[in-house]
Amino acid sequence: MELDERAVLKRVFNYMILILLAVVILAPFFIGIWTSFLPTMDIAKGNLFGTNVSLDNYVAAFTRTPILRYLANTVVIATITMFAQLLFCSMSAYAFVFLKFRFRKTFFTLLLITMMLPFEAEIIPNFATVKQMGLLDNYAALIIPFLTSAFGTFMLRQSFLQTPAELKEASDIEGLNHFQFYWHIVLPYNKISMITLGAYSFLGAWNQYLWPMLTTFSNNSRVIQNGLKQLQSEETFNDWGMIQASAAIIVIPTIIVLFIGQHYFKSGMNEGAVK
Amino acid sequence: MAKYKKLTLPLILILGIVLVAIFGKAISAKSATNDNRTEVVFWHEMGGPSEQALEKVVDGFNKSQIKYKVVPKYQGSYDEAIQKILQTHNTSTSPAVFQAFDISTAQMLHSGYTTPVQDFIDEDHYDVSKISSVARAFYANDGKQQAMPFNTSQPVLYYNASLLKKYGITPPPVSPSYSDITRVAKELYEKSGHKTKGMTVQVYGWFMEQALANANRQIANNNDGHTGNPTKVNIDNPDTVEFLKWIKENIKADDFIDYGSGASAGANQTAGFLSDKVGIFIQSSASIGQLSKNNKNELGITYFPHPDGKKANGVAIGGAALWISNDKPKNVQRGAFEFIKYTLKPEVQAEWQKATGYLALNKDSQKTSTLKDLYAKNPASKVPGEQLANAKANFANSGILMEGMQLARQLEEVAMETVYNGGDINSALKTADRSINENLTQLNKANGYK
Repeated sequence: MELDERAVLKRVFNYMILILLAVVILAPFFIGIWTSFLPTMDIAKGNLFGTNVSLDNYVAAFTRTPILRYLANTVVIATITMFAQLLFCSMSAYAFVFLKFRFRKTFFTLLLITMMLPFEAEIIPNFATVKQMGLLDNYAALIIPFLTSAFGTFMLRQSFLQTPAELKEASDIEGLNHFQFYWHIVLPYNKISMITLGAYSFLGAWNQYLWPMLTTFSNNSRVIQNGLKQLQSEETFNDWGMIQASAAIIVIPTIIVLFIGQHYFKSGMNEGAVK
Repeated sequence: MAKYKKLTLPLILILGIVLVAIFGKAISAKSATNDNRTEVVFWHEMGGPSEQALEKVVDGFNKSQIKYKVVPKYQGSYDEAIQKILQTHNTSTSPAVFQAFDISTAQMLHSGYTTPVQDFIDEDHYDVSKISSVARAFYANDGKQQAMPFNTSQPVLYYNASLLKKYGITPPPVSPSYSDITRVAKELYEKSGHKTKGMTVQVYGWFMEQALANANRQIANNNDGHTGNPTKVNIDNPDTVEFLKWIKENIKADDFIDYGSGASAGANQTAGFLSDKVGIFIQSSASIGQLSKNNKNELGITYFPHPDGKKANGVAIGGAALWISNDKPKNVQRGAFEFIKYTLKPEVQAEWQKATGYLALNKDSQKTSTLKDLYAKNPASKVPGEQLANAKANFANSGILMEGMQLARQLEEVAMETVYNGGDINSALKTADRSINENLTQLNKANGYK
């Protein structure tokens, strides 16, 4: 009996801490969503418990700003970036794991070195390159530099290394060529890593701010994070309610991606290939 | 079936891309409807509601024109836009006319990427005397108008007139001295039973510079850079000390509330003012829209306060100006100037002030029914315009034509913050002076300026 009580107490205590942490983490998010329903004057006054709740801010965001266009731009760019990274990173990772060639280790080290350099440090040469190629203010400027990533290759290589050697041997016996092995065995086997990388690269592209800010000049190619900045003025009146509503709209697709990713993540765990 | 199910997600995504690609093309095709007018690309940094007001100005110009067509493009914050303008010069994407903010004037001037608007003013014999002289002087060098002021604001002092009435406090005069404001702030704090703090001054270098301009004190040598590139800065002077002493006196009396620095400080102090937590604060005249829309309290406005026993010299302007790039053909530059002339028309300026809170620069704007109606509805909104009109341009109130102003401002803010937190005024200013001058020397050396 005594033991039971202690276990219950422990459990209650654990949950209390978890609830507290959840509140700390989620509160700003919910305050943000809540204020998106309030009129701007209430927000400016810091009066967060107003009762004038309405969808006006959302209507304003959709009708008075080009936010839909920004969303469309971002979806295109993030989706292309994601598929391109999945393809190119998995192919290069395959080469580093399953192909035997000279200087394989050296090349891999070189690749890793590029990871040590933050993107911000490469901005000036990248900008000059894109400018020389005449790609400024174009989707291409936002996609081409991100078609592949050293981190993605690195991550998938580590994952591919876990692929049992027996599978390779078996497929060699079956007479599968490299491409068949890559497509039918390596990719399905490493589904979880692929989905992780996909979600990671999609969100990365979705949340880009600095690079698109530098390379886009018009609403036709502007992405959503920069669009959000555009809703704010420098010194004059700001419609905080509408800005909050737009921020809420922007978050929704990222949550969807996370949900899809989670669903696949679970099914991947359950399958299991080699027993 | 399971095989097809796997394909649905990618299929939906690909379909989405294709749809957007078609849809997107249709939109861009629509925006590029061909007319034979010369296109003038205009880069600006007006986001939010002021972007809508700006687009109205552009629409008005385009409707009035058969030769030129201005295409407005938003570029981000003031600071970001400067880099984009400098880095894209001589490419096909660069603008023909652009908006650059006050403290980048020296940088723009030295870049050599712009055609002085003076060239066009001379060509057209355009009469600039109608345009506010303080605003013009800010963007002039060697007697030549380099750029044309556009969205212009000045810092003013806002007070909660309803609260003063409620407690029977005499409001400050329209051009108050430091001690006038101290008196009101102290009375408000005492009479409200310590519920409302008397005043705040945001930690913002711009305000410190304006306090000096108003005291007729130059900060940089060579007449604040208007007769030559500055080589020395002197923040540590009696006028800065007096300004900071004034703030310190109020901090000691406990009627002062410190909101810190940065954009959030600005938003917080506005929130504090609107919810009666603080009675007096200094802010850009462009904030007037935020402060009068749906504000149940009566808004009081005065000029920027000046030192006791000294006449107010007038403050410099803030905001941004329109520049013409020199990498575009002559006829495009001409179109850019036609647009600039249009923006300065009395009626356009009046509408602009009404929509945004930026000040109308054309003296004739005051005679328009637009502004007369506005003043009739809200008499206090007249004050910022009067402050601008009353100031006579001299070197002290025409801004500081110096590169590296962004960093200088940060260092000024460090000094202010030190004093607000109880540090010694003189040593804080000495430190600021030393760092600003070090940075200036280095910048001048790096750029090869004498």
